Amino acid sequence: MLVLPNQKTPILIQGITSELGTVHTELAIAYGTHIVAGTSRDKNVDSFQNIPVFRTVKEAVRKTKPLVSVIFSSPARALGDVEEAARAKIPLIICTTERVPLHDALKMAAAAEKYHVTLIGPSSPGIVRAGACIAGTIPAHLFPKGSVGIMGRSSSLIYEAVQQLAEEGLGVSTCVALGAAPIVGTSFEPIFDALSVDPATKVILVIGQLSGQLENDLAAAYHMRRRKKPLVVYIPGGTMRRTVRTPLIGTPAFSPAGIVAEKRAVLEKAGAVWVDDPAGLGQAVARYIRKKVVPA
Amino acid sequence: MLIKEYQVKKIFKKHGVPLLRGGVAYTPEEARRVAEEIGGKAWVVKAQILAGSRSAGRFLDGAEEELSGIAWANAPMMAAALAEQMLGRYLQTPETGGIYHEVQRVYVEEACLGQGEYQMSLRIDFLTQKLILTIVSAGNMLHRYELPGYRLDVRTERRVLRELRLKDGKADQMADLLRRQVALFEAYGAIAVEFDPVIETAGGFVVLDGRIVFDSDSLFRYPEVAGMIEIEAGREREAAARQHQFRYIHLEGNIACLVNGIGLGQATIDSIHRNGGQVACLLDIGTEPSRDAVARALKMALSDPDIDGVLVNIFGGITRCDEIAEGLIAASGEILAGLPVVVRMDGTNAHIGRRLLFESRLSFTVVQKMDEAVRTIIQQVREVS
Repeated sequence: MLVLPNQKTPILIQGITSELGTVHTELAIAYGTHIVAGTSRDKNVDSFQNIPVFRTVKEAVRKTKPLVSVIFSSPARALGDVEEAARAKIPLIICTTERVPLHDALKMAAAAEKYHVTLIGPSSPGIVRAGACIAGTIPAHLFPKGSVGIMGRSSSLIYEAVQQLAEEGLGVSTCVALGAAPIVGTSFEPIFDALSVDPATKVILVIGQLSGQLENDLAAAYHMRRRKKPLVVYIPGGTMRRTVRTPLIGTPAFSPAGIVAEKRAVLEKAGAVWVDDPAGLGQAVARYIRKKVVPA
Repeated sequence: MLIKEYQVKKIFKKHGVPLLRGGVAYTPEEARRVAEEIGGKAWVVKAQILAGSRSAGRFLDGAEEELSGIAWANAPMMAAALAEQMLGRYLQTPETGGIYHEVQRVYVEEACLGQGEYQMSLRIDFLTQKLILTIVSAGNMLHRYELPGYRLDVRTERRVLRELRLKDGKADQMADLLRRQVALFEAYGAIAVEFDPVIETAGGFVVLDGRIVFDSDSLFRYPEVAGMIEIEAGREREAAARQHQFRYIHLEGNIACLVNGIGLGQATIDSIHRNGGQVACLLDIGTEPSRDAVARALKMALSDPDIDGVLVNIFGGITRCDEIAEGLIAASGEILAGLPVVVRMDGTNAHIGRRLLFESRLSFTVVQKMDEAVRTIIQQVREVS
């Protein structure tokens, strides 16, 4: 089972000397994140901010035993880095790299499956546990601590939701952002399971996505669960009323409105709370918490 | 991303896909020469555009009612005459969405009558994240198979051949064709490789046409393909946006949305539509936009005659709002006149960004919340239009 990182979880940063790696490592350390090691291709670097830097993940794992790896690498190298972390059996791998070739993303997902590790990403902003740790690029300073667990796709809309929660006096327990890429390593279910058993999380807010079927799969998992935390869902794009035709053989035309309506139907059937208005995300969660008397 | 038929066939040929003899022509004279070199008694002249269904296509201002994007010629001179009729003209097909594509080249190919037509498609299925092989056989029977990876495993191969009722030599040929399709798909990191149609001739299966859908994020590995990518007619803005590191999505209203991130963008669209507005386009500058990308995106919106107003909705995470503000100010200068631009900024450095916009003394309307921004732009657009 996926264990969400906290302030004690040892974290490895692959690509710690890259431009983004440097910036986000410093932010994470300042936030209190327990970063135990880094890797770098730069042979002249042995440490960064008193953190040991290794040439290979294998060596870093042997000496520092990280449970999470956060990857900052170029699109061309992301696959190799994910495979290296998967081979070293790091249980949770977060790949932040954007614009990864689709075939590489498929191979990443396959590697994670082969080595029984969880891959979040590619193109993921990562995970933040409010007040405890940052694994990725999420701007934790925008996240007040509270009882709303968030899992979502596109990062900026998640930050928007957090802002709306804050305006309602609500905060976040843990937020996991999968990113908006068409091919992703993990679906919502393992995160849902982890948030379900997380004592700090009272309500789960899902910021879904038009494309893919992660929300449909989540609905099935939510439906099966007996004692469940409230699930509040918004999926953007449902008001776009054009028909999209991919002229590929065996692919039917579809409309965004139709897709969102279908996702809504299965989620509501499973017992989730549907939100229509993106400007009303905070209010919807707040109303639900008040109505159901879930302690905020 | 697509390339034209003659380019696809060049790649197919390199990978041993059975094709008819043919060649590309830029002039009627070249079309005649290609036909003569191929030999035989009949030829097909095919307009080269980035869209399918050309045989159901029509030319702009077409006096020749009959002429579509694919035509038969009984003599090399006729191939030249057909090329003459097609080249430099504009063609639309059921797949071009009402847009006419200029025909700059034709492909001349030996004509061939066959039977037992197939459509074969191998693609990434984004719903299941699997590789899906779809074959449509005679009578529109659709067969769907999931491949376990970059190979045609024995089980799937045998299932395909059994279900298509192919035996002996034909079965071997079909299996070979499938293996080449998988190899092409892998070799180019493609989203899809299609053989469509495949016909059965006396000499075996022949691929009459096909397409490769390339992944724009993998083109850095295939510079020879990147060099073939042309800007599709009607998609000039998408191409310009891509070149400047932002994304342009065309919709049909009169309000442009400039956002950082696709999710926030679609949410903004929902919010505008819910409040009675109509979105013309989405300009997504992504998570780490440069000032230049912001400026160019705003300029693109302001210079579009269909647009009556712009809503900038930025939620800064990694994106710093002060940098966005600088980009917006750089773009605006003189061209802001007349069109309402509402800027909503929140998140990282939003207070600095908003202050910069106020101090610029440009006619931005600056607000802090999304719903307020949406109502404001809808109202302002109503007032100007």
